[in-house]
Amino acid sequence: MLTEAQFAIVAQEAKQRIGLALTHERLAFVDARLTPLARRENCACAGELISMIQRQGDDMLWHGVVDALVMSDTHFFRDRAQFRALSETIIPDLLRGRPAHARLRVWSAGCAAGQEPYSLAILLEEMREEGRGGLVDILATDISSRLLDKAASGLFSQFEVQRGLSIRRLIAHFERVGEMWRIADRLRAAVRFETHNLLVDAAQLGPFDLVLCRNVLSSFGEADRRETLERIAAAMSEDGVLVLGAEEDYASLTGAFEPAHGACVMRRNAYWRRAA
Amino acid sequence: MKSCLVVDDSRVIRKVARRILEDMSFDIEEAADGLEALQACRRSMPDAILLDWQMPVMSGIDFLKTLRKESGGDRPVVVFCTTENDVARISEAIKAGADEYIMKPFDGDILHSKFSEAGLV
Ligand SMILES: C[S@@+](CC[C@H](N)C(=O)[O-])C[C@H]1O[C@@H](n2cnc3c(N)ncnc32)[C@H](O)[C@@H]1O
Repeated sequence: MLTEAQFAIVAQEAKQRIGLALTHERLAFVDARLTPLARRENCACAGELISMIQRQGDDMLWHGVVDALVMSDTHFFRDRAQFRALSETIIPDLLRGRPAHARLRVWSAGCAAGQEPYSLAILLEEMREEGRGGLVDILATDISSRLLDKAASGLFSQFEVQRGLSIRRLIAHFERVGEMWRIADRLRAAVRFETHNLLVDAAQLGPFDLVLCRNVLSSFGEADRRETLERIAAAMSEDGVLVLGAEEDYASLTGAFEPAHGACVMRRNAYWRRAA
Repeated sequence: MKSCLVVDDSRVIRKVARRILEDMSFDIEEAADGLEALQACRRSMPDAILLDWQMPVMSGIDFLKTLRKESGGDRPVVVFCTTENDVARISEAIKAGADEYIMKPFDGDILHSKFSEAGLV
């Protein structure tokens, strides 16, 4: 088991590198997540791994440690009510406010293994089929290249495709390859995947009209939450909409957004300016 | 309380499904093959049917085709739950009137997700 001192070091690295806030009671969780990595590095336990990394000052290994701690739980069409709101009001409103030839720019920030941006791509394709779509670009980013590789492959297990996808959507948009299911090439081509750390400036990625940053900030401490919200705001168009996770109500943290369509969907405050 | 008829020739699977669905507040009845299921439906139409494919006496797909022709047989929401995972088989089930489709093995998350897709929760 990790010692308290070792846990404190891991927690500090996790916070500094990816914003992950680890409180005391997570010690057993961290230990369990790091044990497989320790074994791969020929260490007897997580504690030995941390001692070794400290001795060697190995940045790559810290990278591996932090990657092993990331919370990546996700599924297709997570929080169905939010996708309904996107399809019925949020996206139509955004499209209406723009010239017909303009491309709506969408960012899935913290996309994990891709279920979120692919759900968006499916939703937008269905909207187009109903004659109420528009041109859309989807950028999906995450800190974990391990998760991004999986996302870009478009391959999902039978278990994964049965969480959140109706059977009609599954057979309309996926094909079976052996034991796995692969999303259609046209949908894979509709999403661009890139590595991005939400702790660094994002303005160069934007401006985005719609940002989904769901179930990411909940693992951050409050200061990182606020600063990340403001970095996101700085990468958005003036009337852009930000969708947080269904249980993430962070409207009061910053003046950069104001609530719209309920607490977890916010509109960029057009008058807000980032402090220099 | 909504009712669900669990149709599977494996007693173990029926038990697993029953436990999950009871937690989701369904009132459960069980049948071991398509014919038993049809008899149960004629006594009283359930709100939902969780249906295996391969079963002795009457298969799931034959049961479904017969059910959809019975009076009131269009009402139950039918969720297939089978090891058949071929796209052709899935399409066949949908064409015969299935509302949702689960590929075994399943767990509580999948059952919950699929029952929501079918508008049952
Ligand atoms: C729980 S998943 C959420 C996935 C998806 N948005 C959803 O709601 O289902 C959180 C994701 O955020 C990513 N993440 C955590 N910290 C990050 C950071 N500092 N920069 C970018 N992504 C980060 C993790 O790698 C993980 O894939």
